[in-house]
Order: sequence, then C-alpha cells, then structure tokens
Amino acid sequence: MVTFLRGRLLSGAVTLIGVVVMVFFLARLTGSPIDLFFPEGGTEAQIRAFEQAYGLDQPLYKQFLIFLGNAAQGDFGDSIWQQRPAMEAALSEMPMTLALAGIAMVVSVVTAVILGSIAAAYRFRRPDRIITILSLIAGSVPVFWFAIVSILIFAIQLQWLPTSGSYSWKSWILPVATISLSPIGVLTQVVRGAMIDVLTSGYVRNARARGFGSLRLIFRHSLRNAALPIIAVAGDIAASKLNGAVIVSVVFAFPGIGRLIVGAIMARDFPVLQASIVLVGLAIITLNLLIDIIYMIVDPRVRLS
Amino acid sequence: MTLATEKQTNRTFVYSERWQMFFASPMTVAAATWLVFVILVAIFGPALVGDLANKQALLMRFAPPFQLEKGFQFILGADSLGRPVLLQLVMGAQTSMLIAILSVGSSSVIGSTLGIISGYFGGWVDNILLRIADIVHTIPSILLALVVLFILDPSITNLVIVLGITRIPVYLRTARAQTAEVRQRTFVEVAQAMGASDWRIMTKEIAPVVIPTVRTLAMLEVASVILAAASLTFLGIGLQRPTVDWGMLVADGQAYLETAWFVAVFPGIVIVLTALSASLISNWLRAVEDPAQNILFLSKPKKKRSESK
Amino acid sequence: MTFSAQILRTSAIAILAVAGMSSAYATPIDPAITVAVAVEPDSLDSCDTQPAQNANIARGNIYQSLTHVKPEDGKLEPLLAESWSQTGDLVWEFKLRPNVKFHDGSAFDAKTAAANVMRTQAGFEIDGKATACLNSGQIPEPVQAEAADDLTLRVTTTHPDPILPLRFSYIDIGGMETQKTAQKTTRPVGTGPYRFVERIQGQHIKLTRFDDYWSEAPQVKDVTYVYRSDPAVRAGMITAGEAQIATAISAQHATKDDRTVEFKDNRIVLYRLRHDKEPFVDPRVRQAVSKAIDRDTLVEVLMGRTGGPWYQMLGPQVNGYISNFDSSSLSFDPDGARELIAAAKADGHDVETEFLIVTKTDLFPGSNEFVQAIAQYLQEVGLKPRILSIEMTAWRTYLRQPFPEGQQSNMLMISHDNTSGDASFSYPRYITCKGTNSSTCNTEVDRLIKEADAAQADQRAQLYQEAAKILHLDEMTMEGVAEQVQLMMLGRGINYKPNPLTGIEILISDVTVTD
Repeated sequence: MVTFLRGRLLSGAVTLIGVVVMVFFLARLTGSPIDLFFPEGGTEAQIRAFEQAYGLDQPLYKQFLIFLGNAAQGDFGDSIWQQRPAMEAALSEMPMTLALAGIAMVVSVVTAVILGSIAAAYRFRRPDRIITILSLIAGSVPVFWFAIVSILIFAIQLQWLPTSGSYSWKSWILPVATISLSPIGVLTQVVRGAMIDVLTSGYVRNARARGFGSLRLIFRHSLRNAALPIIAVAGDIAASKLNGAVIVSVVFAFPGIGRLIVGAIMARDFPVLQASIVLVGLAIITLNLLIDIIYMIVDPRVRLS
Repeated sequence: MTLATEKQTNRTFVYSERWQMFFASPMTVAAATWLVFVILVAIFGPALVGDLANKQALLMRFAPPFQLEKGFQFILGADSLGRPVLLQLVMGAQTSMLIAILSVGSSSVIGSTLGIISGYFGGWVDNILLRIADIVHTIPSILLALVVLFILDPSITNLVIVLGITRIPVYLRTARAQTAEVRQRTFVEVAQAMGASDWRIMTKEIAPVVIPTVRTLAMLEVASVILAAASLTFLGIGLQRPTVDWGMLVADGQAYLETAWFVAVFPGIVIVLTALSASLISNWLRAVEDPAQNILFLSKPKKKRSESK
Repeated sequence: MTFSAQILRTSAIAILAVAGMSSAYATPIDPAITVAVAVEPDSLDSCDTQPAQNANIARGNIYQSLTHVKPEDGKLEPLLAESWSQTGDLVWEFKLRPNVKFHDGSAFDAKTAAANVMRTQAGFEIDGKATACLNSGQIPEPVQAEAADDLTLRVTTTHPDPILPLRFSYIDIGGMETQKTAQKTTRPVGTGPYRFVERIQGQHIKLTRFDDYWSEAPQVKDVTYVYRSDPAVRAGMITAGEAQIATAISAQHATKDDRTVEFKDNRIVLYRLRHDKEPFVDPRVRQAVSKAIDRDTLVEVLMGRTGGPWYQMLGPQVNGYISNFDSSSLSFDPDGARELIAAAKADGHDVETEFLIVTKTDLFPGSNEFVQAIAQYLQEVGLKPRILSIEMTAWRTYLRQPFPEGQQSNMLMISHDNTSGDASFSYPRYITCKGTNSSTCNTEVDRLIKEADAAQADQRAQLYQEAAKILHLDEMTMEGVAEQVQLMMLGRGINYKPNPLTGIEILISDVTVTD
C-alpha cells in the first residue's frame, strides 16, 4: 500500500510538472499581456516598466527558470490584473469549484446508477426505452442553451429561483442541474451497458438460475462487477468538471476556477493561469488517486497491477 | 456437405438474424433512417443549395416558421440576417458531420488503441501513456484551442485537431480500465498460455470486449463534440462565417430566444436527434454483436417472434 | 360594541390608506441598490480608471478628478479644483477646493494631487519599482506636478498643451497612502460620495455613502455591483427584482416602457482600410467600399434603437465632428460602387484580391451579424471579403502599428468612443502617419492635426475638422458606419437620467429612488 501510494504520488508529481511546463509555453504562444494593458499604445518607458514589473523583459528560458525557482518555493508571482498574488486568486475560487463539482458528481452518479440499473433490469422493454431516450437527450442538449432557457423559465418567468449569483442554496439549483445534465446522460448509458454486460455474463445467469430476483441481483452482485467502467467514466467527467464548468460559471456568474482560467487566458494573465493550473492539477491528481483506491476496494484484482 | 457450404449457411443465418433484430425495433429503424438522411444531406445538400443558404435578406429578418408564402426554404423561418434556417441547417450538416466524424473517429481510435496497449502491457508503457493522458486532460481545452487557432487559422482541420486531442484521454482511460480487467480473465490467460502473440491477443481477444464500451462512449461524444465546437465559437475562437455548423447556429440564435425561438431551437433539435440516433444505433450494434444479448433483444417482441415462426 | 367596531374599522382603513399613500409617494430612507454590469473591473486603483469597467464603478463614486466634463454641453467644470489658469507657456496653476476629506479622514491638498499626477505617469519613479497605470495614456507627454502651496497645484508641461485641464478630468485622485507605493491598491480611498466597503473578486463590490462628503449627500446609501456577462441575465435581473440598474442591454431585451433608458456616448462603429495593400490602394476602391454599404437599412434592421447610420469617425459632441458634412459621395449607391471598381481595375489595380474583414466578437452586441451583412454588401459590388472574427489580443495585432510583415490586406472593424469632446484623443492616434492605430498617411492631415494640437477653442475645432474632411472625402481609409446608442434598464422606482458620460461614469448620486 505504501509503495503503491508512493508510486502514485510520484507519477502525480510528474504529471503536474508536465502540465506546468506545457501551460507555461502554450500560454506564451498566444501573445503578450502588454497589448491589453496599453489599449491606446503606451510609451516606450511605460512598456519597459510594465515588462520589468512582471518579468516579461527576460528571455523566455530565463522567465521559465525564474518561474520554476519561485514556484518551488510556493511563489507564483502576482496577478497582472488583480493586484494580488496569483495563488491567492486561484485559491479563492477553489472551494466553490470543489463544492459544485462534488455535488454535481454525487447527483449524476446516484441518478445514473438508479436509472441505468432500472434500464438494465428492464432491458429492451418500455422503462429501458424511456430512460435510454431521456438520457440520450440529456447528453445532447447544448449546455449554454439549457442554462439560458432554465433562467428564462425558472428565474424570470416563474421567479422561483434566482437568475444568477451564489447567495443562498436556491442559487445552486440551476448550476448543479446544468452541469449534471450531460454527465447523467452519459453515465446512465455507461451504467446500463456495463450492467447488461454483467447481467448477461455466465455467473449471473447461474445466480439467476439459483433463484435470485432481478433487482436484488442487480444491487447485490452486478453493480460491483459493473463498477469499473462506471468509475472510469465518472472519474473523467469529474476531472473535466474541475477545470471545466466554464459556461455554467459564466452564465450564472457562479464562482469557479474554470472561469478564472478562461479569464486569465483571455487576459494573458500568465501568473494566475499557472497558479490555477497547478491547483487544478493537484485536485485532478488527488481525484485519480481516490479513483485508484476505489478501484482497489471494488476489485481486489487491481491491487496486483 | 462441404465445409464451405456450412460456413455460408452460418453466415446467412447471422445476417438474417441481424436484420430481423433491426426491423424488430422501430426506434432503430427510425434512427438509422435519420442518420442516413443526415449523411446524404451532408454529402449532397450543400451542392444543391448553393449560395442560397448564405444569401442574406435583411428584410426577411426573423421571418416566422411554418409559412410557405415566402418559399419553401423559409419553412423553418429566417435568422437574424434573413437567411433561411432550413438551408443553414443543410450547410451546417456537412460541417458538423465532418467535425464529429473526424474528431470522434480519430480520438476514439487513437485513444482506445493507446488504452489497450497501456492496459495490456502495464509497467512503464502504461505509466508513460497515462502521464501523457493526464497532462492532456489537465490542460484546459480552451487554452489548447486558443493556441492552435491563434497561431494557425480557425479552420475545420484545426478545429478537428483541437477537439480530437482533448478527447483522447477519455477513451484511453476507459479502454485501459477494461483491458486491465479483461487481461485477468481466463480466455486471455489461455490464449497467452497457448503462445498467441501480444498483437493477436490485443486485437482478437481484448479489442472485441473493449470496443462496445468505447463505441457507446464515442456515439455519445458525437453530441459533445458538436457542442464543444459551438462553445469555442461562442468564445470567439471557433469557425468563421460563412462556414456554419449546427452548434454555431444554436450559439448565434440563443441571444434571440425570447424574440425568435426558432433560430436556436431547430438546430438544437437537429443536434439532439442526430446524437440520439447515433446512440440508438450503437445500442443496436452492441446488442447484435453480443450473443448473450441478442437473445434478450429478440425475446422482447414475443408476439412478432411467434408470428415469424 | 358596534360603535367601537365601526371606529376600529374606520381607523384601520385610514391607517391602510395612509400606509398605501406613503408607499406610493414617499421616498425611502437610505435605500440600497444592486447594479448589474457586464464586465468585472480589473482594478480599483485611482490610476487605472481608463477602461470602462473600472470607471463605471470607481469614477465619480469613489474617486473624483480635479476637473470634470459637463455631460450636458461637454464644457469643462470645476470639481476638486475650483479654478485654473495658464501662468506661462508651459505652466498651469490649479486652485484646489478647500475642506475636502478623503474616506480615510485625511485632508485633500496640493501635495496629494501632485502625487497622483506623478504616479499616474510614474514608470520607474516610485521606490525604483515599476508602475504601469492604465491612465498613463491620458498624459501622452510627461508633465511635472508640484504643490505651490497647500491648495495650489503647479503643473509644468514639456510642450504647450492647451487642453491640459481637460486631460486632468481623466486623472482620478486617490488618497496619499496609495500614492507612496508602486503597488496598485485593492482598498481604494477617494474623495467621492461613496466609500469602498468590500470586494470579493469574481463576485461583487460594495460601496456605502461617505458621511463626510464635501458636497450634498446622495439618497442611495448602499450599492452592490455584480457582474453578469450574459445580456439576457442582466435584463432578467431587473425583471426579477434582483438588480435595480443593469447596463449594456441588447436591443432584443429592451422593454418598450420607460424602464429601458438610452444614451449616446459618442461611440462610433468604424471600419479602417489598409490603403497600402490591394484591393484598397486606389482611392476609388475605398470610395466604392463606402458606397456599397447600405447604412440606413443595415443599421435600422440590425441595431434597431441601439444605433443610427453614421459617416464620420467622431460623434457629434467632439470638436473634430463636421456638422454640415456632405456625405453624398459616400452614401449607398451599388452601381456607382461597381463603376468605381471597374475604373480602378481598368487602371491595372487588382481589385479582386481577397481581403479580411477583421472583427472581434464583443465589438458590440450583435456585431458579428453586422459584419456578415457588410461582407455581403461588399460581395455584391464584386469585392472578395473573408470574415475573421477573433478575440481581443489577436484583433490588436491588426489594429496596431507596426503591422506584421505579410499580414493580409484587411478592413478592420473598430468601435471608437471619445467622451472628452476633444479630437486630440482620437485623431493623432488613428489618422496620422505615426499614429499607433493608423493606416492613414497624408502629409496635409498630419500638418493640420499638429497645428490643431497647439491651438485653442474654435480654431482648434476648425483645424481638426479640416483634417477630418480630407480623411473622409480624399483618403477614405477610415469611415463611420453607425453611431451607437447604449441601453440601460432600471428597476421599479429607480430614477436615473443617463447622459453622454454614463458609459464611463454611472454616478450613484444621480440616482433617486421612489417607492
């Protein structure tokens, strides 16, 4: 177990460094923040002052080494736009991101397991057909479209929920619904597929022959065996929610690191981008570690690998 | 009776069985019909429609749908520049199908191949591939899109590259997870014991097990790829007019949801229908190729089966 | 019993009636309002109020400047300076308002004012550290500011600058604490009627009324600013009662009643042609571009109440605007355009060269459609445009000189505003040979503008207008298409009259609330 964890942490560190290196250079391929800072074109002296303030006057490789050296000590520099340390900006968005992604994942997985199992139990019959169609529709509705339409209906027409912001529990409903929609669709299909695989495999048919009822069979014996592909897909979706959910946070003005990252990319705020990516990377690595541990719990054979 | 004839009867049996299953499910027939229709429209539509689709007529702005007096092309209404929504959908079909097929195709093939290799060999191969997948997965796709489309040009090819690369890790992880599990099964161990080559085991034993899961995923990804392209357009880094795809039509129309609902709703319906059809076909294929399932698939319409007997 | 019940009932009715009356007419005490804006401010520092998203919140509410442009007539009026005069060719003196207090209790004086002027253009001056202020562009040539006495600010310019007092209307004055450091402040301190309470980045900014304000206290007590990028959401917040003021409303979300108010901020949609590249080398082709565009139909259909057709670069309140401009040679005439193009082609110009129409998605709401319509007009007269709609940074590589080697010939879409009323904030940058945003080079234009920059009042205006005439009728590299009209939505009971400066300063002290 200890060697396993050590191995995972090591590979996590490798990933993180890889991501940081890639992001550092990719970001700088998209132009310089100077253009945005001097909308009408600054004087030579102003531009030099700006470059020096953010270390942009150094050659690229030097900037990179300075960045690595400082980052190793936990210093990610100051945001170009926000007048605060880049890491502080990134950290302030993280709790809401984790909460939103966590709630949305719980909602999606629970819904998907229930719907997918029902569909598998009644495969090719009416409940399955209805669930399949609905889940497929859920997976193909444009997110921004759903977000706007739900605001128009629930906030503006009916006025049951707030349009946007993050003030009370009510303001969580539409964002959670919006980001859970597509995962529910995708996961329900995966659950259904995996469950059918298990249900039609030999040993379940044996169990059935021995007189186990269908639903009990599903939750007792099949779910565990169908869990691997479900966890894999759910894990990937969760990871994408950690750095995604951009449209949700843009439309609903809901805080989140996805919005911070997009803003930083558009504003060429490199320090904030780098700090955010490190945090998201850490979160994703932790998530993957959790997924591995869940794998081991669910399927002891994985422990061997 | 020679061996050849026996094989042939066997094959005809399989085919007829498949078709029987196909026609047994009206949903599958409808889905296939829609997909064939969309693909035909994508291939031939733009040539037939020509310049008419992008012809703006400002005075036709938001002409309402379901009215024939302005000509059949305006049956689904007109958009904010007075272009017929129907013909825009026809033009969009080609782009959207191209983007969806190329990027889902390339990312699923590359992703699941790498996933099988990764899961089968394990060890350092697995490690390296997984690290690369993790890195790609952690980099925000918008950054990648911005870099590619900033340095290169916002063209369909570059969009496919961006969308393809960002979706590879999903397939890689899924395929790898299943491979790791399948590898432990007896039939793989038997094949290994019998001295089958790695290549053979991966293609003949493991791939058939992995492919259905990947395909379920890939078919669902069709929609998300079309929509991801739309989100990029939304952020100002996607395709450029006069090239249109369905997602762009939804994105452009959504500003007018309250005044002209049809501009965003019809493209939305077309996206949902297409994604739905792709997935239904995927389910059908899945059922057909799994011998245990096709009995169940057929056992449902009991009456029909007894009739056919 | 009946009697007392009667009394009770009557008095209850009376009370209800009084309550009803008061809720209908009385002004609530210390109301709080929420303002929904489109973009979160980048900075609340007094030297960063140039971008509209910063100015919308900070200018006039937290910070004030020495001088102020009167929105009604564009004339300069006193604010923190009571008067000013030119004491030498290069020297100005500003008499400052006495008894003005900053939010932190410190007194406003000439030293603080001087420190603000110097920090705005600082560069490396403070602590040897670099400061880059967004307002620095407002003072293109360095000036020296010092305190002559407690309430007299002396400013020395490098060149004669007749509009220095106007420039100072853009220099917001922050507290002394901030002026001592190169670091931008996150806790702004100014002299305005509202003081800063808190900011949670990504979520909101809160202000409250400043009790020691030097002038009349405003009615609204607390203000919360929130950022909503989707125009439908901003409009929806008014409908749902979540916000009382929403800015940047699209035409399709506007209500027909008086809850939607409009204002013009001298913002013009322009296009700029690269005259050094085909197909635009021949002026006849440039004229044809203007003649190909049916501004009347285009603007009416696509912009509705948010725009009107326009032919010049500047808005009507700027001194470079030509009031009796004859636009007949530029107005819609597709046949004339085709003839001009044919003539240019006959003279050997490659009029069929493909060119880009470069725009950005957030140029103005619905701008992408606007540009597509322009592309079709140009196609109809035989030109070969291709649309390139890109994000801000990429767009700027097309705007700014020097243009990258091998950049494709293009027509750049620009939305330009000039709230100062003086063309020197526009022409030198946009239409002179050395202008950073210019693709025009005409020696006569350059001469006129240089002369105008040093001239005053009517003569200044006349010189600018002469330059504009050459630009619009001979060069034709930079032409207006539409004058923009901005929309705002107000909640029930909110009274606010927007003015030409509303785009950069929404004075909460101008807002009144009735119940």
